[in-house]
Amino acid sequence: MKHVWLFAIWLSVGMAAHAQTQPPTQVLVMLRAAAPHLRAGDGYAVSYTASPDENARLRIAHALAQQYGLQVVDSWPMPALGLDCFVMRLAPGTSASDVTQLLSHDARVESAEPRQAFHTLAGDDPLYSLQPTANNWHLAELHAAATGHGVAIAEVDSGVDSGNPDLAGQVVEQRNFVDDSAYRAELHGTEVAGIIVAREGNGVGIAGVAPHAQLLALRACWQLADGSAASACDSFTLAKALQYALQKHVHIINLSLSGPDDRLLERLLDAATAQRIAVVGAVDDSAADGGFPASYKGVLAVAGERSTVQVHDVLHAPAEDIPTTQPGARWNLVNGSSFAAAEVSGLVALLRDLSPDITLTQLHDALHARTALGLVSMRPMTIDACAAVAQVSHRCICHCAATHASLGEPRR
Amino acid sequence: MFRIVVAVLLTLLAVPARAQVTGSATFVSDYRFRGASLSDDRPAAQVAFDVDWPSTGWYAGGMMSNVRTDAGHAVQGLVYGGYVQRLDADLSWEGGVRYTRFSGGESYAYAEAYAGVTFRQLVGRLYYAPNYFNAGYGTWYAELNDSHALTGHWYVFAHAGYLRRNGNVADYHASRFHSDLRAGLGFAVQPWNIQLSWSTAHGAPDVALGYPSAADTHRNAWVFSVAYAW
Repeated sequence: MKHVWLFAIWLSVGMAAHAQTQPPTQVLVMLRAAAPHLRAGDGYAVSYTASPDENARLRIAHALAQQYGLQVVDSWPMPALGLDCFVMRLAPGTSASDVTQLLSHDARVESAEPRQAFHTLAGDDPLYSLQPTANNWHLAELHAAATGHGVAIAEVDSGVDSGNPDLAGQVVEQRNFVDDSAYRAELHGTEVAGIIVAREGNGVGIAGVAPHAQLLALRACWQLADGSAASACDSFTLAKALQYALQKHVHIINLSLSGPDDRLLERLLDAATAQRIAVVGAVDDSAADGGFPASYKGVLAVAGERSTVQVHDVLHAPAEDIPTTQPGARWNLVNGSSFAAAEVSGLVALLRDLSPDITLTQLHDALHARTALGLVSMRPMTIDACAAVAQVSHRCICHCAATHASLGEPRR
Repeated sequence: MFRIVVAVLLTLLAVPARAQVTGSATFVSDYRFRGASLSDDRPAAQVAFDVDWPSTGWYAGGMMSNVRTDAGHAVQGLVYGGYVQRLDADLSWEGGVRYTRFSGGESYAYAEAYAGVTFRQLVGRLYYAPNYFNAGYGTWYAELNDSHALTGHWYVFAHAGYLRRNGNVADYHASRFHSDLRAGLGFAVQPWNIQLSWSTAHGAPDVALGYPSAADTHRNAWVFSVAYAW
């Protein structure tokens, strides 16, 4: 029975995803309808109610369909708008936007548009409200501006289970740099992946910070024991994974791990920086300098909001009780700077989405953008995600209506 | 006048891109106009066309019907043109003119102006013809039409009209007022429209209103019609 339910969930998730990602296959064509008026037979014949002009519009609709390679499949009068709406199916291989543009220039047509898929605005990720980023970062408002489209993120970690419904279709590539065995799904990698790219609005689990980013799950670490997220890596496996990330020209590398300084890895990180790849590293609270690679120059060091580690330019993000994905169709709450780093990787993907040519300096400045008053040195650097996105997008992102009303200027 | 209207219609039809053209053919068991039979209580065949330019509000059309007047068989021709404006989703107003004439020695030609308001299915119009049926006097006519959909393709409809003629009616020793009512049941499945209705008239006799009706036509009648639109 459990498998039946899991299959049903998987099926519904898959179908929803299919519907949302498929380009429109139909267009809506609006034809003007005259207001009711006297007709030839009125008063002379008996047709006080007849409105034969709909035949004329149906004839026009068929003529349009033939001219533009469409098929009339349905129609509906919309007297409130003075229109008849015709649904026409596109021929295979034709673009809805191209056809609607052509139709819009036809004098017989009032307007035309793709038949688009919409969704309800109810929270569709059951654990969404538990995500600190949902409230603290105003994730829904951020997603109105960007979702990470076209941004590739290399997660160098333990194995990721792409079979979790929240990760289905989100992982574009899995590579194992640990050994020659098959790729393996593990806890830590799956937990980090969910925070970054979990599917949004699919009816289960959580919403990733960058749900439309492309995740490369590069397994460079291995889980030490069943049921525990504790994982180990070495400089060689990490180097192989970093090399691969560079080769793939990813935009972001997430390193939710820590260790000693390592020259090979430093050089690879330098190469990444030279390629304008944003490297996000988790701060190790037990290391005085935050640990490597977080302490390395150019790396965006991320600590938990309650971290007391004194690291230059460290960013603070939620790190406690974070709901996220686990292998299988499971979710759980996790804690640790690994997950704070994952959140920031997602945020960087949003900024990259908004500004593909953004430099690392601009990225750094955006992540340190603040709205509160006071000296930077006197405040903890908890990320203001809204301010970061607003700075890059040059427009108001969060609480815009209230801000306009009270301040007369957008929140930055 | 007729030629002018036709010329205007042809000019308008020269802009086909935005025009919506509809035609219809109707068989009617008794051609009744404002309560008076123009077919001597007998069947008639009619063809009509309507042209809309919805983006502008202008419309036009025409109709031909066989008639049986006091002079015998004849053909009636009618053209009309008007403007309609939608005020909101339920309310619109219109105004226009129509012109009609009959074949044969006596044309009974006349023009009529009208204005109307439509609220949902309720239609009210006021007509004025300065020379009604070329009889030498003006006539006002007010009508109210309504219809309601029933289950399926069925609907009911009703019409009430009230006419007042100007001029001297002393010669007819009759009222200058005339009323007509019609109510019926309809069945519409595109492109067909079938109706059965009861028509009745009261007040001034047809001859006092200038109608070219044959003698001794009935004032009450069942009317059956079948229309095909394309």
